[in-house]
Amino acid sequence: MTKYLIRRLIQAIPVVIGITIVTYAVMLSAPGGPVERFANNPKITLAQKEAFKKSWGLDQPIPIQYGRWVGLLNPDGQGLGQFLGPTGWPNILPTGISGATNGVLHGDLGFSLDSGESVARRIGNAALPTLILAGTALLLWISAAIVLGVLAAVKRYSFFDQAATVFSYIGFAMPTFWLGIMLILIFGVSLKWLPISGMVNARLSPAFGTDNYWVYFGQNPIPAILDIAQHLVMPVITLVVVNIAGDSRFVRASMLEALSQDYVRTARAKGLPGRTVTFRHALRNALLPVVTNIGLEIPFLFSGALVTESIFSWPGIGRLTIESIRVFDYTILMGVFLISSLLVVLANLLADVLYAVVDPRIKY
Amino acid sequence: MTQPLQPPTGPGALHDDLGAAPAPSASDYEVSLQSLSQWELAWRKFRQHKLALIGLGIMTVLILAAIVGPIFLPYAFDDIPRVDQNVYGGRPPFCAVYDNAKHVCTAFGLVHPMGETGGLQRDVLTLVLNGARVSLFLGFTSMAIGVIIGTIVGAIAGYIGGFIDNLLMRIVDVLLSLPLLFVILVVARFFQNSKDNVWAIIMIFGLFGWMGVSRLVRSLFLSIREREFVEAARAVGVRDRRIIFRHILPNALSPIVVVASLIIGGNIIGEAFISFLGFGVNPAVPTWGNILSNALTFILVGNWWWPLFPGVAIILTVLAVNFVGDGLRDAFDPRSRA
Repeated sequence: MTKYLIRRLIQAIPVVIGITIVTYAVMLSAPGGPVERFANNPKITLAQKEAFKKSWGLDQPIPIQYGRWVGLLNPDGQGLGQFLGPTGWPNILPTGISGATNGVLHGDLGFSLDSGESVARRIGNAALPTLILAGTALLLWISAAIVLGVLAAVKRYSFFDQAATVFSYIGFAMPTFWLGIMLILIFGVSLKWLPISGMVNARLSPAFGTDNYWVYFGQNPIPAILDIAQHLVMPVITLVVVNIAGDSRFVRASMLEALSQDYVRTARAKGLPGRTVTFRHALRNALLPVVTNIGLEIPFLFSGALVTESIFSWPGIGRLTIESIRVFDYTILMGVFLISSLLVVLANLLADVLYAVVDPRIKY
Repeated sequence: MTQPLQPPTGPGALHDDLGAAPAPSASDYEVSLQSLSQWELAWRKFRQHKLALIGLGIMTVLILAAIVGPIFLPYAFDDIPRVDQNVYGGRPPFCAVYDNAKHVCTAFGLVHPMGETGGLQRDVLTLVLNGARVSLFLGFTSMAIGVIIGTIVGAIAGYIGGFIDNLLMRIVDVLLSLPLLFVILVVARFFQNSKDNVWAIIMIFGLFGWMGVSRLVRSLFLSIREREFVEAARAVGVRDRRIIFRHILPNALSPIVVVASLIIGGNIIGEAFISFLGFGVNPAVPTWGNILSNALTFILVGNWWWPLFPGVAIILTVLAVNFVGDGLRDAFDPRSRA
């Protein structure tokens, strides 16, 4: 197992390097480059654009920019000296040895081209709202998918099963944002039951995530939580309805397979009550693949729900990304891409490991 | 007149699917000397899949409506607004006379069966049908590009193997680890300002949509490559290219067709999604995503008909292609009995 894990980690290294290269290439392949953001502003002169490029180090050759971003090169060095950090050791080594603080390898994602804030800070601020939204949705849809899938499998071909099938077909075919719009129209505009955008009521409390907000939160925690919960309802429903489809099908298929196994027939033949057979024998085995599937969905907690967040103006990673795309804020985008890609790689690894943990028949 | 027994021809003939025979009907007991090709067998089974037939029907109707509809409709999708009857939020379906002051429809009639948009007051049915032209074209074309690239990459990786296989599959791993929708959005943003960017969007979906196909094709090639008939072909000196295209590919085609049908739906939703966010097809071109995106600007007026119908069109299309895909899977799978 350890050997397998080490091999997988080593295999992941070229993939991660590839991810950083592709991320960087996509960003820089923009026609006009990072100064494209000034394209629609006639007041900005060519000289100002050049000065902007110079101050951000964007006038350097692309490999050097990449090296600095990764943390291989020291931005203060010259020539081959760029490979050396402030203390004279190679720049790529940990901060403690090389004294270098720049680059992804040293935990520095750079600064936002748009606002000048640190990228890590911007992403950190957006991560909590996304975690709240995506986490709630993920928990709900997984538990609902398990219940629906198991019921559909146990009562195969019943009316319930057929209805669940139809529902999941439609869920597959439905664009997330369309469901969001219709929910806003029904519950927000017509019935006026729920707030249609944002995470907190701006009339009651300061903007979420600010220092003032936490002061307010500390003083009246219950109304604050209720406020967030109210804003959560529609985005969560949107996410759950769209995502439940695939997972409940998955659970159903897995459960059907478990129910057709020999040990289930044996258990029935022994005269165990149907409920015991279904839940103790079949369900426990049917959930094994489901558990690994959940592992694969973990990156969702970070990269979350791009559209849902932007429809409901939820101040999370998805909205941050879309805003950043709009203003060509590359540094933020590269940070988001890098973190979410790393999470995908890790989640794949985790899923494989989980699979071996829950199923002793699998040996690596 | 009797025909001489012919050796089986056509794709897949080398492993005739005895297990794939459909449930016997009266005509099956008659002695037929002509063997059915795999495609004929598949069609037989496909016909028995009710949902797949419904899907095929919906698909046909939608495509016909997209082609023919805009010709016969009384409005063009870019008609200029009629200033004489200014209705801010648009009119609901079948509303002939609308009371602007009270926001109610006072007389119904056979006009605007899907209602009228707010602002420029365009006929929603006209928009949806014109949108169908662009959206369907985009879905099918980008699928074709993705499937062709994926098949070529997968075939090379699976047939040649070794270092090339490893390299190509690592590239696929990298691309699949990226948050693809984010990347597509970023790339689409580059083309946002060009006037006619439908082809740019098609290429983006094609170029970022081949990885799944290539993994599938690779695995198919890996297994078919080892079959006896390929070995036989190689033994008699058939060249690699001919082995790939004449011997292996026809046998790998059915799973590819199934995946292709699912990609169409994904790409149609994807287009709607990026157009909705404002990074997709030029807003002046009606696509289902653009219509929905425009609808959002008037959402507070409460005109439900505007976003409803393009959304229903998307759902119907994707449902239809998914049904067809399911039908194809069952039809091609020799283990499933219809």
